[in-house]
Amino acid sequence: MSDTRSDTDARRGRRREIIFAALTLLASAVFAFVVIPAGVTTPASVKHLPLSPAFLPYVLTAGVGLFALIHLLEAIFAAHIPGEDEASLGTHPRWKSRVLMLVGLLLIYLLLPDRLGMPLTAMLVTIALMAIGGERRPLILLGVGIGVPVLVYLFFAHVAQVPLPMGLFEDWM
Amino acid sequence: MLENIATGFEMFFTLGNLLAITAGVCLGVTVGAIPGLTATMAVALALPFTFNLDPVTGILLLVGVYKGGVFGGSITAILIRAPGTPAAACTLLDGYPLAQKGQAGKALNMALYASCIADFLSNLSLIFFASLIAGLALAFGPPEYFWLICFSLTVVISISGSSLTKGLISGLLGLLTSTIGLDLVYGTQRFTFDNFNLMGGVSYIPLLIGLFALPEVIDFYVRKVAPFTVKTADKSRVSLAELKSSLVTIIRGSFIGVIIGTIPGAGATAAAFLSYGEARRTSKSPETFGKGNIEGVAASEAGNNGVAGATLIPLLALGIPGDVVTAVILGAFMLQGLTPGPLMFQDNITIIYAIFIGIMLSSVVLLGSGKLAIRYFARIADIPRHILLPIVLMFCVFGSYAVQSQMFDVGVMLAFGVLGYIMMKIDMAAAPFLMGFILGPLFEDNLRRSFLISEDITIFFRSPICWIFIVITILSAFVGIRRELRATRAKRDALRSGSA
Repeated sequence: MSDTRSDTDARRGRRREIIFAALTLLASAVFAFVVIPAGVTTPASVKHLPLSPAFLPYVLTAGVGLFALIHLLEAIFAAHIPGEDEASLGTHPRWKSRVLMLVGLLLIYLLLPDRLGMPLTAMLVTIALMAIGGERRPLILLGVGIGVPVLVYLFFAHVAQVPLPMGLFEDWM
Repeated sequence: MLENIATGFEMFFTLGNLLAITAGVCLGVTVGAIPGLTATMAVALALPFTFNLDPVTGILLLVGVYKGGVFGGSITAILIRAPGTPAAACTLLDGYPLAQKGQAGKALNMALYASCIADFLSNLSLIFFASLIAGLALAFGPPEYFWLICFSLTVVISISGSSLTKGLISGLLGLLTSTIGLDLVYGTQRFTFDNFNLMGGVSYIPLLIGLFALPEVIDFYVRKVAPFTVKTADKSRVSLAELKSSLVTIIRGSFIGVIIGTIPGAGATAAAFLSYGEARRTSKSPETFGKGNIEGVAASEAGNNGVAGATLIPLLALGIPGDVVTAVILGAFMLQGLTPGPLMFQDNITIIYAIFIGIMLSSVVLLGSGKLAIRYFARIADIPRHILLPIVLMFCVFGSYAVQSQMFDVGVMLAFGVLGYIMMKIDMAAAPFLMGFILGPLFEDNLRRSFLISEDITIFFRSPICWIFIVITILSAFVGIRRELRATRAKRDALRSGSA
């Protein structure tokens, strides 16, 4: 039974490595033929290849492609060694909804500080993340969720002299 | 000479100087422990306080902040996988797994002891070999730098984790990321796609925070059970036997730090990783590195802190700042009407001696304040993960924003956080990426500057220093690859015999 399971794990692991290597190989090709020509401006006055701004990106991309190819061959022909993550704990039963909520909260951290201000955004996200993590005690949720962002704000704004965005509270400060 | 030393002692032993060092180290440890706030930022923040102080007091305050900041970076690296400084990213490789095993106290104490010993040895080197080592550093031109960086990059092999090819790909991707921004020679755009925020390249602090700290936050919300087993009241300590067995590693790492620190621009990150790579290479159990080997913590911290005193060598002996921190300290010297360099050793020798005495004492102060900091910071590990991680994320956002006061850096941090999480999931080590990213600009800059000096490729073989680095680069790469291949073969044999 366990042999069958380890065989399945090995097959799955091998397939994962093959997909990783193939995707990396494909990405290096896209990088070499599309991204570098579009993203690097090479002046006409460049005399020697190593002085060109595109020289190192091309060399590095070739290196990535080469090692991806070696990894692909290794994944196909050599015995699979299970990674550390493969043997670790499984995912949370509601991991999809949790990840969606996390992504939403990270986007709030990125998009709302200019409007709401950094301290208020930090309070909202911190309280929400603690609640998602399983915290139900209102005292902890509000105490930590409000107290810590205020303290961190005071440190950054008044000790480290970082001008944090205040959004709605800009005129109050 | 003895008279000058006596005057130096007299000049140093004032309450103001002792307070300045103590306050500086404490401030440095605290600021260094906050992700996003670096030792450089702490020194810059402390600079205005030196305006009205005596020259010796002012300089010692800044040196104290710098040294405290370098050690402080390791605290959060060990406890929450959020390195306070780039060099501390090496410390987390073994420090964080130790914390996961409930041995955060042991990791933090070893980091402190290694830091203090390395700092002390680095200070001794500063005092006794300043002029000698500074002369050697002056012999470094672009080709010599290029080979030094090539040698440093061979460490990627040692920190590749479970797969050598994936580690090398990770390192190359880091190098590739470092090419984003305006071209150094022609000023043309590379991968900026007309985005003004990318013209100066990707900021390393948001990248560092994103790559190492954010994946832990994401992972917590994805996993069934948090893998971090918190052991309250962690009483783990470094035993005398452990310290003794790590002593060779610490001393070797310190000297690696001294040599790298003397060379302007090489940096503590390279020293930490080189020291770590050497420790792993010479270890009897290299397979335990990256899984919570206490020697790994000692090696990286020794390399990291070995740089601290040595970066002052080119500053004091030649008047050349080796990095941003020493550039700020140079500014402080100049504000006090002093010009570091050979003339200072003639005109202001008593001030030099007073500073040397203060710098030596700073190692002892670091030990005391570090012990105190560990006692309080170690309690972070007792905070439940569902409360701690939202706070970590908040520090990540505030710290990333603080770098340039722009939300773009928060976006960079989040983007590299997602990349770091994907790398974690596909078992690709993030440390080689960071190593490539930090050393990338130096690598390319010196490659192209060499070609600008001479269009002939023979410039790369022009001096004995070049040849020494060529030989050790080839040897290091060969030995590293052979060891990794042997380890992989041994794992496959074990798997085969297990299934048979």
